[in-house]
Amino acid sequence: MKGVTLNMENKTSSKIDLDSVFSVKNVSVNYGDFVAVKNVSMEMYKNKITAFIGPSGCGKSTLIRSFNRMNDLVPSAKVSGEILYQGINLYDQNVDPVQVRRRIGMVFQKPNPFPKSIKENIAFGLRVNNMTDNLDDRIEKALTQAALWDEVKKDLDKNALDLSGGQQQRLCIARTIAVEPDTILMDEPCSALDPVATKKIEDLMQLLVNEFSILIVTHNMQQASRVSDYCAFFTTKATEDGRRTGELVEYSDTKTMFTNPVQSLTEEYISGRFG
Amino acid sequence: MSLDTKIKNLELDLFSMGELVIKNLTEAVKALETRDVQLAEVVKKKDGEIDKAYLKIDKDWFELMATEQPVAKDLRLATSIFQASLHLERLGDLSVFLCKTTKEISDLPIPESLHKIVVEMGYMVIDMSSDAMESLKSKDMDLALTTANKDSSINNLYNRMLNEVSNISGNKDLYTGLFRLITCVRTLERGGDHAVDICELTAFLVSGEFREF
Amino acid sequence: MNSIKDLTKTNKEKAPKEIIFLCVLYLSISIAIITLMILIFDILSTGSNRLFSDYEVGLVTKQQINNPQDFLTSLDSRDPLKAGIGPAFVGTLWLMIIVVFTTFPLGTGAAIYLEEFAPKNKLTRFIELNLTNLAGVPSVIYGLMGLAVFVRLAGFGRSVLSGGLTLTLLILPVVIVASREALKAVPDTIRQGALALGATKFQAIFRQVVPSAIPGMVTGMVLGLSRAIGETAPLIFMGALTYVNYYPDSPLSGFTAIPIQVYNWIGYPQAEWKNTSSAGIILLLVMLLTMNSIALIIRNKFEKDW
Repeated sequence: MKGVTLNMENKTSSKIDLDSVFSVKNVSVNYGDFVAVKNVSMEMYKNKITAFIGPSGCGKSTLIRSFNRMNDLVPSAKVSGEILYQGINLYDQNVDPVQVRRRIGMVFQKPNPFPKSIKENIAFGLRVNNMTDNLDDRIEKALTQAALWDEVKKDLDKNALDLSGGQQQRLCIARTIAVEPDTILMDEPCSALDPVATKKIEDLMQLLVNEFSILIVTHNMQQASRVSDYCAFFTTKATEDGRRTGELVEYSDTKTMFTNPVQSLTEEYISGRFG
Repeated sequence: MSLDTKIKNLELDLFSMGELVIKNLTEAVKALETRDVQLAEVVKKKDGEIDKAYLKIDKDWFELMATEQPVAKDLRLATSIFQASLHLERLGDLSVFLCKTTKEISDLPIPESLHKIVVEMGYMVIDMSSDAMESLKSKDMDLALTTANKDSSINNLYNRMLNEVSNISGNKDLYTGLFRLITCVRTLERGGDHAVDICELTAFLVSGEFREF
Repeated sequence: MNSIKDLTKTNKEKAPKEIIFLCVLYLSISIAIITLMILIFDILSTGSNRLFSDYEVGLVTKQQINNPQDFLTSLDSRDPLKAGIGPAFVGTLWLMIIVVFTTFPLGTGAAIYLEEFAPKNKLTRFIELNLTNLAGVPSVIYGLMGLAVFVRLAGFGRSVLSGGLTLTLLILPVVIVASREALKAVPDTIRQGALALGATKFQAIFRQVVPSAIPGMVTGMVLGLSRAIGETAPLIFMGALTYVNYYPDSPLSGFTAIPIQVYNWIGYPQAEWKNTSSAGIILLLVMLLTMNSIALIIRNKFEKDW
């Protein structure tokens, strides 16, 4: 069965309850003449966790970075198609990428706190966005929401690089949510962490999703099955010039994808038979 | 929802299904005892709820396995719950069979002695099933063992029935009623086996070993 | 069948080659260190007496000379025992100040532009290529250029300002390269992390990247400075005066510097001048050592464990 399958048999909530937060229509991302990911169309829903899974090189990270215009930093990158964020085309001429990145936050694969104090890490985002009223309260709120407050409240001036890997990643989450985005993009946030730290981040995501919409790229299928509400499976297809382009194969609610996926390719990937 | 919550919900669903099944079984035996056809109808209709409960547990267990991949204690608990729900569903079907029998013998002459034996066996099965579920709920190994041993009483009753049959033979009018009651006894005996299986699940849950009682 | 002996066999085969190689290494380093030790010993033995002891001079009127303060504050003189390095010392300090205040902003600014803002086109590559070349140009050429541009064209004359600016040009390529390295050492994830929070490129660079790179930039500056104060040829070419008997009082006044003064003293025939020159060299060495130590301390204290 060729083509993309959009399988939205969500028995627990009707379509009316689901607000769309990202509406992706025929989006492709090119680096120069290399097509990294081709022709993706999907909807992502508010206050849900959506996971992108698939083998290496299938364009998941490239795609997620076009959702907050981080691809603008790569001169040869070009995004075609339409990415509507709550109805607004993110690549419209009038849209300011700096504002986009405040509304759509990002947490990276390797924890990257600034080499400053814990307090300063969070204060930086607040300052550049002119959110400096009640600075200390905002910092406390962000750290509490990120389940880090109790561990660091006694020592906010400690250098962030002295924290453990899991704590650093939670700090990165805290500084992202401090600037009050609506959506958080996570690019393999747990791949550099040990299992205990990973579980803490996964539990945190379940709490955060009540306030934010979360989009996560992950290599770990079990993580996707545990954590996400919706799952998008990408794979690479070889093109004429010998390179590989990423494509969306199947997008459905997680329960269906892991109990009865439609595409055989999806089934093979999640059961570990390839990739 | 966390893994713990999902398993907890699965447990709650199982035990409320258990209550439903035991209650229905009790009513079914009572209906058979008093030969109350209307009560039997009510009980038969209730079986729909039991089937619904079973399907929900089945679906939830399946999704739990696919998305959470539980291990160790969680895996034993989830699997035990699933298998117990199967046995409970069978006990539900047993109640339906009792009700059918009640209806069928409502206008038939039946040997009173056999009728008494059937009803007695019915109450034994209720007793065993209820204790088996209790042992699963409180993870009580001792209760599971004693309950499983009660299966011998059912076997004794079965043998008594065989003796009674030989006393009654000769009176052709009673044959249809007799036949119905004998099949009832066979079905009840299987009910006892299901209760024993639930006790084995308790043992598996507690000790981690698969065994037959 | 493998035996324990196989595990120990290979050691014995390689040993002689390794030993020879190690000997060659040790020899090379010994030559370098011993040469340096000899030079330092020579300087110290000839200069320390002149620099630290007190004595009397004069045939008729006796004059007490208390070193090192007199050496450091006296003007030049025809008497090697009286000649002091005062104006040259102050001249060198003036040069250092001018160099720091012009090189640091220019050098770090250029580095920040090239590393963070410049588009990756042919012009940028051309600039980068030439920077590396400029770092290797002989310092004499800079002297000639200083003469033409600062002394004559700009009209600053043979002043300490011209000297400072000439030295700036000399060490600018080195400072720019060092600052760029410091900026490159800041991981790109920091820039991305800042931008992902809704910072503009400007905010990300000036509030996160540059502060992290400052220790590296300062180290580069200090090392460039320590090269500058030892330079003699460019200053001579742009006309630093050799017999200066006054302290420079403004950026536009004439000046001399320690290396030039020493160069001048060495030229005199009397034997005692050797001691005076060595004393001057000791002073220069102490300044260089101090600056390099400061650079090292800065680097160690602020080095980030990315």
